[in-house]
Amino acid sequence: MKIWIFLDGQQQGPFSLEELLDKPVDQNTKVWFEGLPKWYPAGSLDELRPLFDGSLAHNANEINDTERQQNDADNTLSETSQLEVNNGEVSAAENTPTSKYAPGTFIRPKNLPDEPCPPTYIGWSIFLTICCCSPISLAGLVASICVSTFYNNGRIDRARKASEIAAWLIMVAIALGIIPVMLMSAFFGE
Amino acid sequence: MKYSKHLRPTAALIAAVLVLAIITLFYYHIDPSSGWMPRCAFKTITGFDCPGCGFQRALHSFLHGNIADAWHYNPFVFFAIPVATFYIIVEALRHHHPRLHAFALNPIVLSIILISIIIYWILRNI
Repeated sequence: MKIWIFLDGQQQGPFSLEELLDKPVDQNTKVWFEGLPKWYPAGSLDELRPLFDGSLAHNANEINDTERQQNDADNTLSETSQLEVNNGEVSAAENTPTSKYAPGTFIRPKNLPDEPCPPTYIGWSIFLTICCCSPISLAGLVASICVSTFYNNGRIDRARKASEIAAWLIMVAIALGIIPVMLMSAFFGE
Repeated sequence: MKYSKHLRPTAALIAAVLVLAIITLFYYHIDPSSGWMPRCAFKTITGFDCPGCGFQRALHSFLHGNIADAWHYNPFVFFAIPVATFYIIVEALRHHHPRLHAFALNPIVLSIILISIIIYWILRNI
């Protein structure tokens, strides 16, 4: 596995997992290898766990390989919509690691924002569709879709705004779900 | 890392279990089709069913083991509750499983969910 790291303001690599042991890599160092959509902190990746739990022995490598294959399968499934496949063309995108070793085709990570996706509240929107005011919950659902669309297009500011709107719509939906209940209990209650 | 400390997992888990227990007890003992119960504002105003209408009766039937009745009152609940729970958990864990988050919160998947809710809403009023 060839791993690129982002240290001292510049990208370095590729390194193997063993070579990374000699580098000042900690849990927060941004790393990238092929298959990832963008840079991730090293601590958040299963593949790099042997670096930090001190078990970088021979058997750890074998386990790692099988995990990696599984993750590769996941990645091809999951990230086809977010990744662009270039045919042998070297991308000049700033801050984007490129592999010179991949034959023919390589996957170029999109310029995803560096910070994590703001909350979309999608679960709450779906849940409120059943128990509170549905039309507004559906509007919240649309706002959630906007959050993830903007985020995937690299527009973190718009994603954050959409996330706020989604939160407000959910609160309005809860309020509109509860106020009619109170009114009805006042007028039609036993 | 701005959002990472918003949700304390243990507190959230305890709150969720408590709320679930209260809801379960409430809907087990009270039959929604008789007596006063929270009503759907959308149905009261427009007369049409919303995607959630029938959910209280469905829950009551389900808790008494009448799954066929529950399905009859509102089949949508059977999909919505697992999906909503899944998304709430995925969002809460997005710092630890960023790739699962990226997969599940794909705009295409979310659009399919939105469209199927709207289609269900239209179909149940025809």
